[in-house]
Amino acid sequence: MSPNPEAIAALLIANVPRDLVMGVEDAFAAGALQAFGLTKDVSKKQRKTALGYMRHIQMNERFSDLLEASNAELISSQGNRVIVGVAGMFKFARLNMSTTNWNRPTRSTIRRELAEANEAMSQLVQPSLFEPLDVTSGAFFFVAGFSGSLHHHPEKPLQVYIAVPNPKMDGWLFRETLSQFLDRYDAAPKQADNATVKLKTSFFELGGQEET
Amino acid sequence: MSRGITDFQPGRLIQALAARALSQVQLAAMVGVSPATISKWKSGQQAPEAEALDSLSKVINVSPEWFTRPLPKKGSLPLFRSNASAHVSARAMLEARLEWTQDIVLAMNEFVDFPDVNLPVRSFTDPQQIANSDIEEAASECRDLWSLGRRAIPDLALAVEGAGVIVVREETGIAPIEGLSAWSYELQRPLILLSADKGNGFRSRFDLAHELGHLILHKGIDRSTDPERYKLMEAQAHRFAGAFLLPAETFAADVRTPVTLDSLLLLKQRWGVSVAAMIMRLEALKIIDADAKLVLFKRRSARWGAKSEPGDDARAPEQPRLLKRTIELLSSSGVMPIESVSSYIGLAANDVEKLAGLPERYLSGKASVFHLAKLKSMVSSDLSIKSDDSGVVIPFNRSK
Repeated sequence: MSPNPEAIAALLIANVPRDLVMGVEDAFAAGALQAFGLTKDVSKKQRKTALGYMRHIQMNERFSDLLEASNAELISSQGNRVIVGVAGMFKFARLNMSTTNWNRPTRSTIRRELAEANEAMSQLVQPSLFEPLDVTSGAFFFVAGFSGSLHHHPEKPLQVYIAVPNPKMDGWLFRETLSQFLDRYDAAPKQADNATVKLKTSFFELGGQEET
Repeated sequence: MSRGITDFQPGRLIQALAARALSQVQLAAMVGVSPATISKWKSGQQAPEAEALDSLSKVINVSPEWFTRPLPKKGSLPLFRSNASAHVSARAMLEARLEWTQDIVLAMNEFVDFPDVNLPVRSFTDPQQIANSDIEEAASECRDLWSLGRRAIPDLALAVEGAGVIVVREETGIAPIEGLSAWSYELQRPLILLSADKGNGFRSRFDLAHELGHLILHKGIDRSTDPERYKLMEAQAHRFAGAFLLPAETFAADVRTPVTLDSLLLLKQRWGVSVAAMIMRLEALKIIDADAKLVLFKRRSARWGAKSEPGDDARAPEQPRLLKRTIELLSSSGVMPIESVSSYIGLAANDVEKLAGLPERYLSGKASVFHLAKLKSMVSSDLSIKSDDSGVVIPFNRSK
């Protein structure tokens, strides 16, 4: 096996605009903060649950605004429905998770269906014995990782990740924090050394010398 | 009346006087003629005789024949990056050094192709036409043209030379003038001369980016002595340098607010830009306001003084390499022996070495070279065994 998450990162960079990724950072931070403000007076017994619900609603609203503003909305916000965006060949949605519990996002049918599109991409990580499939579609999630505690930064995600699930959605083909991922957009290719001169072709024709 | 040599170019004498920062009277005393004679040579009324020319060329340290070489077409009037009203003769000296650089490139151009000029093209005719957004756009376009991304540029001198700009970095002895740049009409490419006097890698990078800004933004703008106009053009070149070295999208994301000098010190090493220049850029990006800028500058002066910042030594000044590589190529490919380079150009070896960034005495073949290995033939001759000391062959008998 020759894992190649870099190939997946390159596909993401080519399809997902940098501004959309930065917009997700802003949307999640704003939604989480608002949810915290709205639930901080709820009784202690229910506050954690209320905060979870409110995060879902507030972050969904901000996420939906972002997708609409970016003209990237595929399935809009409606009740408890999963909002789906589209960027190039990718479809994407959002998830909230506790940092201590990463692998339980399979409850939603839409998410599971989205993940099935990653069959071809999984071969970039684990080559198939059969003919490789062309990667023409894929799905990923923006995952907000919260502390899971009311005492440790309940007002914001500790990290936001961009994560590409495997087709069965029981593992990740690629996962990276947004701050790391954003650096990929800005990374300069290794600086080329173009400060070179070439002998004029006439000198090659003369055998490279003109000694008399 | 005695006749002077034919083809004497008075313009060369004027250039030489400027390059050596000599007055007519000083030169006259050194050559052993009257100041009036020098004046006549300069005006073209009279040309020096062979003997006087020989003496003149020795004093100036060029070949006598150099005085007969027609001057190439003048380039655009250089823009000087100076933080004080530098003396006229100092400016003339640097301008002449830039012209000598042009001479070197013209001579080398006979044999080699320099990189194509690859700069954003702008056609402003008045600095008033240039808005801040134009400057930001030009800086972004330049990064895109050179495929530099939006992060810190590892080696700016390499990038600038790769875009066909001739860069010289030498000690000029004129600290107030940090650099100058001009477009050569003869070469159809720009030239930049940077002062190496301060030996500060961070400032030198900024100076280079500043000159790049002049070359792109002010190419078609007439030079003027109007101080307001000069000030505006300087401010525009500064803004360009900031925008080019510290792109808004990435630099702003790196800066922690509220801004402290210590957080900027960390960014200084990452971006290769001084704290002072970063403060200016932060104000240009409206991340801090004028009051916050003032507070940061006050703290900067109080903590570090006015002249230097911590970590200034961490980055060696970037060195130009294009002219050096050209001369090395001509030599290694057998086109021109290293010893012939200065005579071909007509300038003194040490002038060519300084302008091309070569080690001292490189062109005279007397550069310090450590011989770590000896040829076998030398070794065998050194250790030649005298017949008297010949050894005795002792046979080993296996079958004892």
